[in-house]
Amino acid sequence: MKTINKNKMKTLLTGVLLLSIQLAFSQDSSFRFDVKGNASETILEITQLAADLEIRGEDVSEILIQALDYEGLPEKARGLKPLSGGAPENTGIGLSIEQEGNVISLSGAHREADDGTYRIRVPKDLMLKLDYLSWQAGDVEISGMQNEIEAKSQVGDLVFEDVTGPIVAHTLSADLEVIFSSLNQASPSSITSTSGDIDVSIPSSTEGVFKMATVSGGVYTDLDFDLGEDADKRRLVGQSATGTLNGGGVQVSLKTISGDIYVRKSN
Amino acid sequence: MKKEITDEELIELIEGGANKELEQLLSKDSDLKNRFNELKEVVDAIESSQSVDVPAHIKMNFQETIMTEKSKSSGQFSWMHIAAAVTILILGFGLGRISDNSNTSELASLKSEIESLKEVTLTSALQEYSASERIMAVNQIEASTREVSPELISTLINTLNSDKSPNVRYAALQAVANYIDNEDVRAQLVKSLESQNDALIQISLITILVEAEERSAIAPLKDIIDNEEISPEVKQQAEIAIQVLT
Repeated sequence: MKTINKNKMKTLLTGVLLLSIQLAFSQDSSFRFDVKGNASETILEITQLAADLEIRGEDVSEILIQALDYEGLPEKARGLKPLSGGAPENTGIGLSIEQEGNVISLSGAHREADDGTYRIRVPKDLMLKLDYLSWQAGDVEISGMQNEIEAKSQVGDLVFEDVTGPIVAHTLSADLEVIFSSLNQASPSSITSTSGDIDVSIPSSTEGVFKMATVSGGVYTDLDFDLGEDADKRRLVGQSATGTLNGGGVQVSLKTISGDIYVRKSN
Repeated sequence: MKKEITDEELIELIEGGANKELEQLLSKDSDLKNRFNELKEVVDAIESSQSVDVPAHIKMNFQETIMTEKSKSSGQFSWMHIAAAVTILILGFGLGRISDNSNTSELASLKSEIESLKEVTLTSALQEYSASERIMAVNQIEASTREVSPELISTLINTLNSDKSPNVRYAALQAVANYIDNEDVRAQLVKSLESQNDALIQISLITILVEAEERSAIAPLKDIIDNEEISPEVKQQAEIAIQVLT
């Protein structure tokens, strides 16, 4: 191993020290919110926020939000209100949350929230709707959910794991990765992007009709799709195929303009 | 003061719900009795009108939809609500007819009303339901083997132009593309190209118009190339499209 220059080592150590002090002083706190009514008929709508998000569905009846590195308002802003604020902060961790009817609205109360990372534990049968349209938006990871997820993002990657759908998701340039534990047959899924890649994993026994289309990318799979007479039809512009899996079922639409489409066996 | 008896209460009685108080009132009040008889006629007519030949595609779509929704144990927004709404609408229609003219043969025209109710239902599904359910409604219109009415096509075009979800707009575009042979549809798609702001939809639209060799798209395509706010990917497709079309 090369000997590390002593000065460099010092700088590194100081950096680590400063970082741990910062972590110790930053607010690492949480907020609980009771879901009123039946979770499976309730939508959690996340808007006006650009933070990194980790949303996990579990067998719980309340929402628990943990702010992992929310630093709060600047020291000098003590006693002042942020002019750029959204809905009123009522969580102590930079967010606003309220329920009206069957819609729970969660949003960033001011821009400091956007720099944070939030870990949100929710009832797994809650519906999720996410508008992540900011150009500064972070990445979103969602796992363990068993109801509809609708998500829009420009630049923040969307990763959904251990979900049943239906999934209705669209990105501009961000990649989309969806790992289905099973595929909800009640209503269709649609995963689209302008220039991001679409990467979907499903159990090989999944029944469905997959409509896959890309203009300048490729479509890759290890599943036994029945492509009928439509096999790898090259159109005037781009490439599209409709693949039936295990005799057919709910429709899954995968479309990207310049990205690639990957459909994998998850087992 | 006399208690107001609602139609719902009367209908409940007609349909076999026991209501001693109401029965007593009926024997005394001849106006009420008349209303009761009129309603009974409508309810009976609706029950017997099931034997009227309902167009097969309507039966199919509704029954399928309702069956799938029934089998869904935790339906979020039950399609049964729609079925209930349709029943109420049919009832309302029947009542309207009866009050104009008690000739029950008019009920035969319920058939065409049912057809338009189906459209109302699909159209309202496109306004109130979740993104996935809206895509399902669009897919159902697309899957219909019968001739699709101009109203449904314009519903699809409205969806293409105004749904909040790009995924739903994309599904609507795919469905509308089936009617590309229709001159009006092509004109609407050219018009839509001017108002879309999502690259995915813009490029998909351009592709469809190029494949249909729609030359009237050239003008809006040139506008796209000149528009600074439109993304380079879309402009590139627009340039290719113009080359193909000219």
